[in-house]
Amino acid sequence: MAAHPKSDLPQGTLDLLVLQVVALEPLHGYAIAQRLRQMSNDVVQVTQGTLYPALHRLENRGFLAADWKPSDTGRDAKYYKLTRKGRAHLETAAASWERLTGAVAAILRTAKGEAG
Amino acid sequence: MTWWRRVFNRSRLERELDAELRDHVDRLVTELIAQGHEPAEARRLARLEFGGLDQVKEACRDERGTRWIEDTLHDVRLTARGFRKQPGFAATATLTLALGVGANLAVFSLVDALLLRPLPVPEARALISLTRWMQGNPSEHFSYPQVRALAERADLFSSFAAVGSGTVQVGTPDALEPTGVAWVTGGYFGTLKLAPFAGRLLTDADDQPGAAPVAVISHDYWTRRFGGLTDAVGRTLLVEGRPVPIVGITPRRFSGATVGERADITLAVHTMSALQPENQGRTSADSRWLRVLGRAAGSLTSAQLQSRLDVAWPQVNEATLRPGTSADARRRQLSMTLTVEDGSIGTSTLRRNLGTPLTTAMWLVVLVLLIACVNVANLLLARGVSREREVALRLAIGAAGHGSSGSCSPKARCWRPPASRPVC
Repeated sequence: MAAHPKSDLPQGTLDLLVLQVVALEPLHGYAIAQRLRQMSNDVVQVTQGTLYPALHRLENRGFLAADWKPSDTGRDAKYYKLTRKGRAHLETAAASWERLTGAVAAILRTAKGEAG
Repeated sequence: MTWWRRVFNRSRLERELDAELRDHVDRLVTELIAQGHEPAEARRLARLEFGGLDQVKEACRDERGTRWIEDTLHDVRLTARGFRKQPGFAATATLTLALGVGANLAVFSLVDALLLRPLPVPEARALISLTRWMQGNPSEHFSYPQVRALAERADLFSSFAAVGSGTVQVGTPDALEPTGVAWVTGGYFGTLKLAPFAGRLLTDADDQPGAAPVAVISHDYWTRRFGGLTDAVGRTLLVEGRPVPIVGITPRRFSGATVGERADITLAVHTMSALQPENQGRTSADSRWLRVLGRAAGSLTSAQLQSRLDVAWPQVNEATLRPGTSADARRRQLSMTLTVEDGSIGTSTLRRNLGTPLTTAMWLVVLVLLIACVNVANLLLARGVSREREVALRLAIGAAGHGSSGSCSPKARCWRPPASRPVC
């Protein structure tokens, strides 16, 4: 578990991933980091220095709501959940992401076809 | 949480941030122990992975969007501390700036009152005033017959009135009080479009030869002299020994249309001879003492009004000439021309006399303020030099020194050991 100096994710992608992970169920910060790692087979590893500012940013923009609830450790943890506004944002952001990556993939395929 | 609540709940947000990040570290430690690490080793690894707790906190604080307020407060605290350490410097800088600002304030309040502030009346912007020119000399003063003649020209003015300032003695003979009075023609309040605060205001009927004197008092005078009594209207004032009934009160803030001369009482021009027999001839053509205010007829612009007035004025002027005027005086009189002026800031002789000197004074004091700022900048520079060692120390421990002024960047907070006393 080496510490990454910074996230390798393209700008703005982390917000999208966080919203998607939290969309399934309310989670605390540590669990969000773990889910991201597990779901991406260790490809996506965000540092705390990136994750927490992102969480706070999304909370301040009203995409996430936070609750302090008792957790498995016996202490209260801060659970983030998706708001209605966050869900709407997630849908548009995911759609535009898919359009973009689809386009990038198509270009790469064409370029490869021409080269080969 | 809204922005405002983020500003005011700072300590709660800080507690929560701390708890949240600690929770994360604790979970990391637990996981590492479960993977078979020694507890001490697990804590070390967790701290390594997490990186600087304070840096993460700073990044989270940045996301709150309240940073600039906190930074400002921080700077204010820093400045206050610096002032306490160097009271001589603080006093000099404050005094220098205070003098500069004070001079500007004093002159500007004059400029504002005399040259800028419109009269507190409805549609003040539409008010015009007239200046007459005789052989290159300007004057705002008109005779009563001239005012009457101009007021009758409905093709020029929708309303027209004149006002002259004076002083009357109010009260019983053993307690006379000189009081500022505005002698006005009947159309005065109509031209200003003022509605009475109480009672009624003067009309044309009050400004007729032989009309009984009635007084309108200002709101300010009403509160000063009558203590805001509700039954002040209907009482009598002893003006120059004669009882004059009060018929109304002008609106709050209004104290006459003449800037610099407060009119506590407003009386009709025609009642002057009854109240002040020594001013008998004030309604004659020889006595030019009234300043005029009006509103242009219809939708005439002031340029259109000016050109119409150029045509109409010679006739009006000639008609108001007293019979038996000598040929020389007559020629001089007929050479008189009028110019239309902005009347929105009221009429005033002070303005013509003081306008240019005041504007000059305003520029001068602005210059003084500029010099004061330069002086303070010099002081700061000198202080910066004397604080070289301190700044060097700051830089050495990671704070960003701000050149000559020697204050440190707010970002330095996360580098400052929390327990130690700040350097500055």
